[in-house]
Amino acid sequence: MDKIHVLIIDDEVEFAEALAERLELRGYLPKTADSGRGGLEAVGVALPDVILLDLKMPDMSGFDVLVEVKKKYPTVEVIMLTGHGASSSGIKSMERGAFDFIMKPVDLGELMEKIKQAYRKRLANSM
Amino acid sequence: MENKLRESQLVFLGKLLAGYTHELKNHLAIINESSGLMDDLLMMSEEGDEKLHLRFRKIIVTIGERISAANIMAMYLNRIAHRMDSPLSHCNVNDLLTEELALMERFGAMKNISFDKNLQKEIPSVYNNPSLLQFIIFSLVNDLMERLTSGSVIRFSSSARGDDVVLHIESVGPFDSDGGAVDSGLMVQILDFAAEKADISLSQNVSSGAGLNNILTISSKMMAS
Repeated sequence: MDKIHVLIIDDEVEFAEALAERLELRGYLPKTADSGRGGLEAVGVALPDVILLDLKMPDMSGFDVLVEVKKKYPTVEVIMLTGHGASSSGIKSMERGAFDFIMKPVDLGELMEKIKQAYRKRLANSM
Repeated sequence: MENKLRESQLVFLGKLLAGYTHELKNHLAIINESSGLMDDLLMMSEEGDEKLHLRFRKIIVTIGERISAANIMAMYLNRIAHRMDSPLSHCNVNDLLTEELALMERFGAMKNISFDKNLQKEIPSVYNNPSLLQFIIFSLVNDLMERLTSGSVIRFSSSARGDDVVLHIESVGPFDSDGGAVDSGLMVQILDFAAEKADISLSQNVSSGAGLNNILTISSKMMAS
């Protein structure tokens, strides 16, 4: 499998950077953005394969970023990161076009599996 | 006005709890990734004291286990907080009970009282007032914990009755003669009122083992008043 470009959009910088480094050690090509708007700009500069998107950010909600991304780049797959105890917000995200969601704190093995599945979907939809 | 004030207070408390647990999960996520990264880097480093490596790895495993336990508690508290978002919603009685008991286990442990759950899988989802139902369960369990002696057990079992759900909360063990609720008469009145509001039939009998058996029949289709 090719190296997967992953963009992590999360205002918790320490979380995003540590996660990016761990993904990099496992052969991914991660980048980070610390806000919703910053994330949208980063997507415009270099299109990622998969976006990991936090649901709650101060400048823009993850829902709004998701809708914007899917409108402009429908084949980019988005996995939502949620700190909610219940899965309702994750399900709502999937109704708005997210590939899947994962709860924080993240299980890295589960996350990598979801990233690979999202990437395969992106490849299939790009053909 | 008094009722409206109480409702507003519940919403306020729910919001604070939801916000707190959300933030807590964020902190746990950062600790989790930082600890994971430390483990990754340690695994990659070839040189160094092997004993020290093992010691660090053991610490990292402990951090991971504690994060996992704290996360489950935060997740349950977050769910309880969000159940106050709207008075009526679809809910699973087993889920309500599981999340609530996880947070009450410590109170039980302090008195050496354990919980024993026998929940029927695949019970129907009910449309009811989950926050009020959790309050009733809490009050009944708390009352038993106040009265039971050390080493007792509180048994929980759920089952379907048509579309409704029946929940048994039964004590196994002797009661402490000095224990008991501060004002049990008032508590009974409050519980009866709460049960009526949530369309729950609440009854109590003495079980074959001479324990108290609280039986809650939870209506599956509560109508908004």
